[in-house]
Amino acid sequence: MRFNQVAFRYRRRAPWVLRDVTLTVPRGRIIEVNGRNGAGKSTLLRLVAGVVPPVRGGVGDRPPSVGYAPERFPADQPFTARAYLGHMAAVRGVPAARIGEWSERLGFSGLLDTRLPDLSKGSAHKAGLIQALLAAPGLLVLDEPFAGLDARTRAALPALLAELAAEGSSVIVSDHQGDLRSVPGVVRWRVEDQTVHEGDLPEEHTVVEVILPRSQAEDLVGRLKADGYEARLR
Amino acid sequence: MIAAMRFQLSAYARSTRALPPVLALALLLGIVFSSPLGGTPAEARSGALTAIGDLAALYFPICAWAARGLLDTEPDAQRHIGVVAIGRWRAMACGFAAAFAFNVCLALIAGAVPLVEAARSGVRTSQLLPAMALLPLSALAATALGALAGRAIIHSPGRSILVLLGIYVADLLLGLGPLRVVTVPMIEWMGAAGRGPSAFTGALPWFALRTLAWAVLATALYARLRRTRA
Repeated sequence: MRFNQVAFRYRRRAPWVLRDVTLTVPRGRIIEVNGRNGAGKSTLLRLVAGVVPPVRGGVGDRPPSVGYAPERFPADQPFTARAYLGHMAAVRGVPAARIGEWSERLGFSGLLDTRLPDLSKGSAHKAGLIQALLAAPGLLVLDEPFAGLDARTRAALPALLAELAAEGSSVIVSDHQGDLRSVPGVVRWRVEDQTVHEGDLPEEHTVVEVILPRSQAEDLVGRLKADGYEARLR
Repeated sequence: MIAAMRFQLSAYARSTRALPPVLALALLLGIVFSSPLGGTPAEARSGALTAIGDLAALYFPICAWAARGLLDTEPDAQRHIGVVAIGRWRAMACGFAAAFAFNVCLALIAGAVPLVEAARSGVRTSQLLPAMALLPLSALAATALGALAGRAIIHSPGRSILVLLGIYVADLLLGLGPLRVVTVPMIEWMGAAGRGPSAFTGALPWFALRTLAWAVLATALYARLRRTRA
């Protein structure tokens, strides 16, 4: 899937949220999207999922099956979780048995007969994740999936996402809290200055004091400089 | 598509939003049929046609209100999930079709009453059936208006109701003047129904064509606006 010179704003004459975004969504990889609040992460994810079309530029080769879990699950619906997920399975044309499988994996089985408005924030979030996972998506887009989850599910989710990526899905996740740090091979996108940069956020620098005999100081500074560090003698 | 329509209809039926339009229709039927259609079969036939003409015009805003309510029952984030699950155009078409299906149910309820009343007065049902076509056509145009006033297009509820009622009132007022050709001809069909069965039946194809054209244009505008809205 490719973004070609994509630009987006919500209304005519409104400021651009994203401009000149050209990137490729790699298959079979997890992509972590980060950036400050209001940088445009959720907008980028909506463009990737196909919730909104770009105002300029083009998006091509999106996989036919896409799963999308918004940042806030719409719990204000007059269904039990089972009925809601049953409807979503029917809409996507997948067997209802998948509801049980994913509910089991996300520790949601005991809540299937609870009405959606009665679910806690974290449980409602799980319902949103399950509906996104139902169709075995080629592209899975999750907006802040770790927010509000219990510790057990939060710990289990990275491995689950890695499993989906290993099966060939592209998994795009916005994450503030660094829950994917333990997963190897994660591609990182940084949304900043109305565009998307590939790569990690610049790491914070710190000062380390080393106390040693004066005669060895110049030698150590030289060695540190040779290793690529910024070092000076005071 | 059927599953997506069933999902939206089910959500609407389970919410309390479906009840007010149904109650409003019941009130309208109570007012329109508060007196007998007529003494003789000819009077009853004429009375039934007048009732159908009036109903098709007066239940228009109720159908528009119901369509808006059905589409707005789906939270914004759920609409986004639906767009991703089945695609933008199919999601939009499913919502519209579900709203129209609900309004056809209202049309069936609205149409059943004059048919039953006319049958009790000795009028054959077949004499009224052509006029009954106005009810679903009116419902289709009203569905398009309700969709245009829905939250996906107009985010503010107050402005949305103003647009819905404003377009209905403007349509009635324009129907009195030279621009009547661009309207859903509600004023005209009410007038023709009052003038008698032959006037009504003769003008029916023209009324139907204009109503259909209005509905198609309004639906096309809705589709155009939804193209860029989440």
